[in-house]
Amino acid sequence: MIKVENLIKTYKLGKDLFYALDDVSLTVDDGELVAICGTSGAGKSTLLNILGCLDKADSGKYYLDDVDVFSLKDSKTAKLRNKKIGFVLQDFSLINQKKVDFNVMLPMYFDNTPGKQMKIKADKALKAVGLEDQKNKKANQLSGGQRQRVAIARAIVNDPSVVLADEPTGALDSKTSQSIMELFKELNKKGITVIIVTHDKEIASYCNRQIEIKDGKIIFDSKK
Amino acid sequence: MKSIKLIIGFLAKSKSAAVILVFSYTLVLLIANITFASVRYITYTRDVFVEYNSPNTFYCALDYDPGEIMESDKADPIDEKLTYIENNAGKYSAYQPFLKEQNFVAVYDGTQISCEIYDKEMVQRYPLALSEGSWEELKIESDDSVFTAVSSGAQFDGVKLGSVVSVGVNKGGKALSDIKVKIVGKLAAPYSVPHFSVSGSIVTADYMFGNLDGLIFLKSDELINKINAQSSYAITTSGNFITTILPDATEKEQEEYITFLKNNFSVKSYDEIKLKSDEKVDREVRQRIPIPVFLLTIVSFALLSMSVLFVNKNIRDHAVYYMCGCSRKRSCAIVSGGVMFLGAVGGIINILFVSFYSKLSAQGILNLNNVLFDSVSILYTGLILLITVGTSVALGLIVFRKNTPIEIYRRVE
Repeated sequence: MIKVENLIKTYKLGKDLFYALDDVSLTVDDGELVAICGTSGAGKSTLLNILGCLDKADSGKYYLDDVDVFSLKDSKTAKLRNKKIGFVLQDFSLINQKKVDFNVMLPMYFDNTPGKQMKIKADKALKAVGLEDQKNKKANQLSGGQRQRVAIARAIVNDPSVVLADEPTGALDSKTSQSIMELFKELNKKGITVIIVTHDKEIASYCNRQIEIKDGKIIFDSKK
Repeated sequence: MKSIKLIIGFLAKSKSAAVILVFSYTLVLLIANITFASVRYITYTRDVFVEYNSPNTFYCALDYDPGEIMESDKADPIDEKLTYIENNAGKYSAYQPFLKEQNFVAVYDGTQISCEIYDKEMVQRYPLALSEGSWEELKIESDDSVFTAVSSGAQFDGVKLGSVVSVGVNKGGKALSDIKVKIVGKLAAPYSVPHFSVSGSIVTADYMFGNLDGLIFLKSDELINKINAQSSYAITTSGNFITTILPDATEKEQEEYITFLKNNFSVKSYDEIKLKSDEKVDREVRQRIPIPVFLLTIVSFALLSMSVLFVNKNIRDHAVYYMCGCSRKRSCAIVSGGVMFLGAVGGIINILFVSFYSKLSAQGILNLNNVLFDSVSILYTGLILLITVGTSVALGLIVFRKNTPIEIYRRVE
């Protein structure tokens, strides 16, 4: 379960203080498929980065499966990112010159998974996204949709409890976007909590719960 | 293994640049090491000459016709000639014994070695540094036909002090005949011993020494007879030697004796040798050191620049690693490892070269002549590595840590 309380994140813009997140509180239960919507600069990506332990808020609390994330040191949050969180980003964030299987195995380079086990888990993840026959190709040899599937395979290879996706279909055509969203739905059915940041209402409609952010505040939550 | 793969991935961003840099750094470090070793050797021999010789020392070279020596039917015609002249020199009040250098070739463990035979006075004059054992243990008498010797060179590295080894001397051109030798000391690097092979208008201290991969014996009739019994022509005496004037002799007596020496030999005084040696050291330092230093500076700056380039090329990948659960500390370790590798390969190769040079030289695989490689060389290499590679790693980390993963993602977006 994800629980954030009274999150505040600010940036200095000259002499002024810009509130990227202004007193945001949110709870996401296990197994939810959530869309966080808003216009550009609303604070959606900032919230996602904090949920993904990529960034820290200036104040507030963040609990991931009852662990106080802000109290952890960098090495411990790294472990959290490795084991409990999977990321899918708009630009795919793959190592383009490396093969598909290396990209999928990447999270396992930072944990104790033995070499043989790494290959087995990577194959399983690639099978789940339908790319088991592409593992020996380089990432830059694949289409946009295939690359995003590889990114999803990487995100789920360590069986995380939550997958965070930031505009996962932003660089894809509508048909490919549809297939990617179907894939997220399939993962969600398997019990993985999925939180998707998007400005696209159509993409948001795939999700059971929709949260709208404006000027750093949650203005709408379909659950409430 | 995983981290090593990621470090290789760090360098694979620009493979050719990495290969060129590693190769250049290794080569430049090798050139620097060899040059420094050569200059150190010249300085070392000058210092040993000054330390162990007094101002009333003379280096004398016998003028002889090589053809006459070759055609002589005597076993050691040069030794005979020197002995004859020395007998005449003994009539002078200022006379002191000629310190001659004799040698013979032997075989140890299937490899040809050189063996030096020194008088007791020579050993007392040049108590060179030993890594093990003591010159005191070097004796004239043999013990049950076992002769004592001090070893020099890596050939005898595996032999324990006090062990008895067999050394073969050629028996009249046919089968080897062994003599038993007890190792009572091991010479320290640079395994350089008095070796009076050079004569000429200019004699410098480094010409009075030579590398020895073999054994040093104390001269005794028993040893000479033993070797001559194996082969009459085994022992060769150098036509050059050193001698000192008796300091208690009067000025007139000293002058008379010096005149005698000059009539029989080509003579160089201590002052002449020291002056020429000092000039040679200065000249070598001025002429030979600047280029390796210049090359080292260039390649060090190349390493610095490349480390920044490699970091910048890999920053995006490390943002991805961070997202996949790599801590900043581990990322820094991978970056440091990658940059260190660029310099470390060259450093390790050079340290291995310096460490194993004596073994390679002993086996005849590599012989650079008159170089001094020892633990100080390893220290210098380590120091150069620390400064150049250390600075590159530090700079690489400074550049790396300036960019946080979040900033990189924002830049990409």
